[in-house]
Amino acid sequence: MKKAAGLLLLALLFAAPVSAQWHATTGLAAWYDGDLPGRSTLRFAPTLALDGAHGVLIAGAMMSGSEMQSPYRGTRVASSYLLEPIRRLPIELKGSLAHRGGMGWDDRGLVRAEARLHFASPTAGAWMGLATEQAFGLTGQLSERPLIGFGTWSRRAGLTLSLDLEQRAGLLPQASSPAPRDSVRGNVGGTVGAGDQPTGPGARTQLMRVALTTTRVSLHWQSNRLELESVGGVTLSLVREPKRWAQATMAYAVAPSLAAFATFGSRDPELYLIEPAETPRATCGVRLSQWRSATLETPLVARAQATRWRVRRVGTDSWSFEVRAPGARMVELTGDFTLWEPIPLQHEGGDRWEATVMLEPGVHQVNLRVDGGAWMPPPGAPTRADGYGGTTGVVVAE
Amino acid sequence: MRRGLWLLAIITALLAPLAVHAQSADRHLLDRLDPATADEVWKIAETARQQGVPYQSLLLTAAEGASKHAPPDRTIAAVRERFRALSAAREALGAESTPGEISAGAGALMSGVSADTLARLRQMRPKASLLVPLVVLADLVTRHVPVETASSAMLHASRMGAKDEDLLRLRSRVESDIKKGVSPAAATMSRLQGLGMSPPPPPRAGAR
Repeated sequence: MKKAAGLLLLALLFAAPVSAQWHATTGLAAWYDGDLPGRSTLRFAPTLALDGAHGVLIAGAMMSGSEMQSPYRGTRVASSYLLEPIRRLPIELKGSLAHRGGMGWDDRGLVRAEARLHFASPTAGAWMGLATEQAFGLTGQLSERPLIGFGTWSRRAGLTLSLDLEQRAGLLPQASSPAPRDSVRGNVGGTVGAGDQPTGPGARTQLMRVALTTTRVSLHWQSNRLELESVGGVTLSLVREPKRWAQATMAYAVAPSLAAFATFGSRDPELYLIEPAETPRATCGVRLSQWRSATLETPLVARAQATRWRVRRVGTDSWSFEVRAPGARMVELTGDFTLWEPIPLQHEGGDRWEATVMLEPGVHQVNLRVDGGAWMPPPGAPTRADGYGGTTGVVVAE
Repeated sequence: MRRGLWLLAIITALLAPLAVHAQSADRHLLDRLDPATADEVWKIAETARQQGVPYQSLLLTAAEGASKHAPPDRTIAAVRERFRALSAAREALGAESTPGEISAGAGALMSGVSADTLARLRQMRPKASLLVPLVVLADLVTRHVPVETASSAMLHASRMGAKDEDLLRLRSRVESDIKKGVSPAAATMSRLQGLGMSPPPPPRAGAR
């Protein structure tokens, strides 16, 4: 309990820009999970994220415990970084490391590296990628061939639709006897397979590593407070029947850093590594996080960004700043004229955001931020060095 | 004579609170800094004010550091660097320059432009505002146009009588070309020609 309270406090306290280009936030989710008939599990998932204009790094953990099985813990570190575009084509490097272990559990994990080439416009795009994976602590043969992936996405007025086909490593439960290397003993209820299915005494399950091909469709919509996501797909492998899966999530932001969420369904089988349950489940809980884009599933290039910037005088000293940012949920600006305090722009409908400010004649510095991301010079505005290792946009008021 | 002294004393007494209030409002800009850093920045700003340098720009630089969660040392270093740049810009552009021009000149100097370029720009546009040329110059250098090329292009454009709108168009087109993969120097020179200006002679060796 003390540990949970400490994590909660840490999550609330640690939320700060670490430099002009990167912003660090933490989140903590706790939920009570009724995934298994007759028993339930309390889970904690603290998250640390470094969110920048060109990359995201997420480190997450999950701790689980119940009266029916040994507690287990899982960790996942995932990153995504956009290289400078080559001939206007962004290249995204993605990496992830997942590990699962705990008292009475074999350690096992997976490292994945991927490069994606994007063809993107502000409202739609496509990508193709090659990936390789290395596993440790797992049974099964690992394919030497590179894993491939393709995807496309489109965004309109806060709604993002994406369609992906991706090869990944997966862990599938496979009944076997005698007890395989991955089997573990639960502290209650006899032998429990690492597949974590509800098993009776004597039942044993082995996890087998296989290549999975997943076709996934996701629909994501977000307004200022409400966030709806629906993800569904089919996962194919050579060793078992195709598995259809789907999950719906709804989150409502009670406050900027507090959201209540509920999910129903199951995710694609690659999640076995950390979250092994395969059966559909209902989950509800709260999320304490100042980070609003806590997913790497949407390509970085698909994140909302300011695409146009217009400054015009509307009075003697008053100036209107207009920003076009398709799909943005929040646009803020800061500068010397706001004493470097962020001020929100008003949503004027569609992708148009606007603010009117007072500017004395002269040169002013200004930066923009979309959806709580990194502060950036406005698109198309003159820039200059800021003295802190970054750049700011410049506005000339004459 | 005595009446005049009395009048002066009364006016001074009336204006003193206003001056104190203005200083207090300026000091308020440093509220987000720790007291030691705020004191150090305030001392630098006082020196700048005594020298006729736009000192409020320094307080805003400190506020920017606080907003970006810069460490105290970094904030003080940035304020000192800005003070040096403002002083040098004022000297290069002339004491009659507007605070906006001095601030824009400081921005250009901090981007790597030389004080000599600023002085030559002033010579070419002795009465017209230098705000836009200085902003465009700083922007080109920030976009990795070599300092010599950017300075030479801006001096050449000013010599040829380019208007502010022409310079802003030049900047915008260079930015667009760079995004398409054109080298910053080549983009600057070709866009200068696009404005109907033959490219300037190659910059002198060592010139900035």
